[in-house]
Amino acid sequence: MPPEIVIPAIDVRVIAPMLTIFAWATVLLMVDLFMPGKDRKLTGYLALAGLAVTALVTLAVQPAPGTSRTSFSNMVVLDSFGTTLTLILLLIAAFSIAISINYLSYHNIEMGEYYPLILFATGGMILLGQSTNLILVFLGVELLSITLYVLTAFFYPRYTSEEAGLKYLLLGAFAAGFLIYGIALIYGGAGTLDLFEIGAFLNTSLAVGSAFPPGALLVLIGGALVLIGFCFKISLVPFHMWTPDVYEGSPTPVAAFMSVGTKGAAFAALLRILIVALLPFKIYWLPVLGVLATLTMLFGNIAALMQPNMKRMLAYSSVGHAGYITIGIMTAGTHGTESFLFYLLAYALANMGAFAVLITLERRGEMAWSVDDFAGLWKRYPLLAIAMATFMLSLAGVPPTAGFFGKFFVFAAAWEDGQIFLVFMGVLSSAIAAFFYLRVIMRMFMDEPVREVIPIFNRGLTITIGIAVVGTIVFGLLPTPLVSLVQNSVIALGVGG
Amino acid sequence: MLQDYTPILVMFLMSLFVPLFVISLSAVLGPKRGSKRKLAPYESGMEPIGPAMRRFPVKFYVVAMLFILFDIEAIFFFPYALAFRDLGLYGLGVMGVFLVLLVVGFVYEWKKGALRWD
Amino acid sequence: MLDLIWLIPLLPFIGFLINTLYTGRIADVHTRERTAGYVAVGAVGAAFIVALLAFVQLGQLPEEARLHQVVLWTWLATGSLNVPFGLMLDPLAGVMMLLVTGVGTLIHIYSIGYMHGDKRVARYFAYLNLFITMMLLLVMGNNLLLLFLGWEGVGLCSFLLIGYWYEKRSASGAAVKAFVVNRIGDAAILLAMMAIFFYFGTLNFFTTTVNGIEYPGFIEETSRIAGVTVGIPGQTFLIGTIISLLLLIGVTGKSAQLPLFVWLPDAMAGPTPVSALIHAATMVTAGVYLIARTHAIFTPTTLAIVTWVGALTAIIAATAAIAQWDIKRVLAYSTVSQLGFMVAAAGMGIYVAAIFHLLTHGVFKALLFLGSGSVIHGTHETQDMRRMGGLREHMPTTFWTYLIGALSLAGIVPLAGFWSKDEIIAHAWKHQGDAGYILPVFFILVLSSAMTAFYMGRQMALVFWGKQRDHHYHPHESPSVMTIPLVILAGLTVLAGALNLPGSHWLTDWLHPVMREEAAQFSIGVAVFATLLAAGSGYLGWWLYAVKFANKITVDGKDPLYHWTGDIWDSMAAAWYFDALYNSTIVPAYRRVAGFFAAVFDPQGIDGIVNGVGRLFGRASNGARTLQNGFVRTYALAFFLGVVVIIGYLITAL
Repeated sequence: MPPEIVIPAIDVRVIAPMLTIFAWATVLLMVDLFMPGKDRKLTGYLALAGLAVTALVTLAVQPAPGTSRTSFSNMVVLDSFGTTLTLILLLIAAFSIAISINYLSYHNIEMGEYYPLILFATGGMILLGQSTNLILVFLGVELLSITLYVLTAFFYPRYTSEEAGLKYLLLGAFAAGFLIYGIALIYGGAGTLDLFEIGAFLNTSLAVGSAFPPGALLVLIGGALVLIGFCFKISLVPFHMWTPDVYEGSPTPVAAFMSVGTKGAAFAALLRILIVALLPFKIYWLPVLGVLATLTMLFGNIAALMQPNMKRMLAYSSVGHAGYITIGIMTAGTHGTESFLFYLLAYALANMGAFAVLITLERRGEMAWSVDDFAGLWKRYPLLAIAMATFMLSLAGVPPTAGFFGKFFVFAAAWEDGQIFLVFMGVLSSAIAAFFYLRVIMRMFMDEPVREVIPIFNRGLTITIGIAVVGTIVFGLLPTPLVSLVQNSVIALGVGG
Repeated sequence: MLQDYTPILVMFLMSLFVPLFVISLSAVLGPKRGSKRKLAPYESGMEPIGPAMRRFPVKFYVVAMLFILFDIEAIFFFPYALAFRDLGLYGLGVMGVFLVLLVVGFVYEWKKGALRWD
Repeated sequence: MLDLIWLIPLLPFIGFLINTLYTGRIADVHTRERTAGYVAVGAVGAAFIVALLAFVQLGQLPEEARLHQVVLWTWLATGSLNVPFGLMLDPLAGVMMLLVTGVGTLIHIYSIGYMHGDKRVARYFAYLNLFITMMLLLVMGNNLLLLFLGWEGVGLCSFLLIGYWYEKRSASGAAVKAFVVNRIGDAAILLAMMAIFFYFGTLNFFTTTVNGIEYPGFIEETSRIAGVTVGIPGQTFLIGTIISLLLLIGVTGKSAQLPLFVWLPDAMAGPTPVSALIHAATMVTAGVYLIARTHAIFTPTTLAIVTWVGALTAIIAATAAIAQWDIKRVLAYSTVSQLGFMVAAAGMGIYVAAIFHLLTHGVFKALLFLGSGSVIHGTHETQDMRRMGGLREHMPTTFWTYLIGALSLAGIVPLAGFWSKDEIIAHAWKHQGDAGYILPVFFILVLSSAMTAFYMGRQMALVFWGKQRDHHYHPHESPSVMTIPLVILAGLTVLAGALNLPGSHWLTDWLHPVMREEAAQFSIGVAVFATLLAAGSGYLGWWLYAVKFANKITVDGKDPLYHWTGDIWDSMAAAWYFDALYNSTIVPAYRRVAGFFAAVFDPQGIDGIVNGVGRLFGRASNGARTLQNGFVRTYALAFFLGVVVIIGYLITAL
């Protein structure tokens, strides 16, 4: 007699955002398949509509303040942290699609699959932000990665793009190996993959005696491997080396999407793992993350200094920013997720905007992205130059931009936690970073044009740049509403509630 | 606890034993009158030319992927068939979704022309 | 009116917006130039009028009520922290605001004449207006965060304006240098802000009411950190010392003090009105303002360091000013030196004297810079004093106003500079017993002020006396749009001393609610001594260069004094080689590190080493590039090393 099968209680509301976006993506794939003609802009607009619907669904099912819902045997949780993150990710995806619609046709790589792929990747990101079980975390990572391998190589037949795709695939598989091995070790040690239960297991097993129990040791090593797997995704030094090559090779909107979306989702999942499951090990992971953050901030920003290639410069800058975000998640145990979420949004706005400006200057068949193209931009296109200057100032952390408050919150929380050395290194590296962001401003405002550059504008780009500028400045002048939003975004620490 | 896994061990041993048994049986019982034709590697009736490590047309990979797709489908369907009654309508719905997703992939591949040989 | 003080920074900002978005698009060059000038002057002038009205109204309030805060909106509210976007007007902010808008208006007017014919003039006025806005936010912000916004904003405008003539290579270089040096100071301010937030839980200066809730201000609560120390066992520091030292580092950046003063002389690459406004009268005094504003936090330890920084800066810059040939560099080093006086005064605890000197210096140094601009304008962009000479007859207005400015700077009675400088020196003399370092500081300051008189005498002689040594130009007086501001400023220079005359000491009384200082005691002995010394060394400087060695000065020649002093003169001309020191130690190290990272850690760099030729072709043809698995291997190796190190650490940490 086989054991009786118990179907776990299912609360569809918990996965409603993911469900919506995956269903939309699947249907969109079919719709695109049967759409006549070569023009694929309609698919892009439908994808945007899908993101809007998903956002509405997310808002409709959001949990009451201070509560959370779990379902599917506690594998997925819907808490306010997840909701806020989902909304940020949807915004990032919408920006990415908006700047892609004309980009693809301009560069003759227009294929309808592009948009469902972005939706699938976004779904994977949402899953990462909501899963409370390591298997689902792995599922999210892979969903995200596999779509991105394809998107990275989307600039077929450009060799750099294919190279980027292959590099990302090989190294991604390498990193995934560490991730899954770490998950296996954790299961071996704790006997469960549930984040809450792992945390409970550690608490009890560490409380028993003075000796370090072997089960906890397995979880520690496994946790380290999981951490390393994520370090690859968020490109912390020394796991960052793929970043510049992959960003440079992939289509610019994809690079923009990866630089903020992937990073944000991976950080969110790591945050949940560290806070929910591995909090008893804080004394072990805190110094590791501190060293990685310091190295990342320094290496990323110093390497960006001498970059004449804007796309690579932004890639290194995103490596540097990963360091700051890392400081943000290090303090999440004591100060909540606000500094992380605020930084993520401020960074997303500025970085998306900067990539969008880069796209306006990108020409068919060229792969220069030289900082020379920005020379004298103020003279001919003052508004574009001001927008770019805003993004650069925000990335450099100069008030009154959102980027300044992002850094401010991160550093203030770290200072209060006594991480004064980290704050010091952060401030120092951001002083270094100001130099290369400023160089762009200098070229725009203080130089004669080097060559004739005619920016390409279209509705998607203009709207994206507009929203990013307005957001960067408004959240710099009036961050309070956003702060209260992210402040209420609490991670569910227990089951149910 | 470990006894629960005994059927798996048996299954493992069986799957090891049966092919070994069959192959060795044919080796023992079968008549061996080799000619040049017969000793050549089997290649679906094609002329065996060149080294084995050559580049295959990418179409083979597409077919292989399709095969894996339906292979996995089958793997999921077998256990479902066993618990069909217990899972009830819920199970039917879930398998329906699973099937729809596979069909979507299949339709996509078909429409993209991956199944056309030339 | 007091509730309308938000208009003061807003008006220049509107001017900035108009000049950015509208004026730049006017096709006709002349209309564009005229519109830009009128809009900018109108915006700042209106701000000045509002500021003046608000100031008068503030004066009508009872003394203890002279702190008016206007909270525009809540900038930032998170848990315990509430930072309003609020402006405040108190006596200190009031005088600063008047200086910024008043001198600012005159310099805007002057700029119309000076920048005539420049093709990017709309941009120039836009930057200038933005600068005024940011400077006003700096002095009127009611919390440290808003001050920091202004602090960064003026830095940005300064950067843009130094590099305004970017065709000159020196200008872009100087702009970058200014920004980078300032960033070091800014980083320190940011750290100080973190520390203040951590220990006080607020960034407001004074108690602020937002929506009926009172939020405390840290200046009123300094008792909370009294005696609180941090550090390792055996070596602890008062937290107040740490915070104030961080603030001091910021001050040394913005106010060009040792060791970060090197950017200011180079900043003279910008247009001369900018030098007058930003690099003499307003922005560089922000550091002094910051010390005066947060003086409650400063501990005796820090104050001693502040005093020494100021005094040493004063003397080093004064010696450097003696040996310059460039008319503007003399004034630049002189500014650094005078800022040293103010910082030293603040270090000795006489904040009123520091602010007094700040105000008078703002007026007469603006006059001197504008005068030098008039000279440069009238001699067709000549800046080297060896090429001048005898301009007295050709430029009478410029000469007389410049003379007043120079006498004031030298400290000749009864001009403004005398009163403010005397207050500082007299205090040092009277309070030499307060601490061991006051007496040496007194002598340093006296020596510096003698040198000040000397280099101004030298400059007057070189520029206005003697015969014209270079005949490639025909000197002419500047248009009245430039000379009228000179005359007004000269008049103010004569009168500004009345702000705080011994006996009336209006400024001390006015600042009493903020500083709580007693009126400075006047010492007739020190005053006579200082005046005689200044007059003597000023005359010496004039006599040496106008009479004794008048014939030995040649175009591109050495200074006559060089034959006596030799290498010392060279050292002075190079400001004791601080620049060279940084250039030979920090800069190359920085470059090398950056270059190393760029070369080694950037995969393109690896490509260059490993596969240079193939990469070159690959780049060029964009087709021959093969998939370089070798690099993936490199990446994977780095990845794996990271894994080994992390796991190794965790195992040893158990």
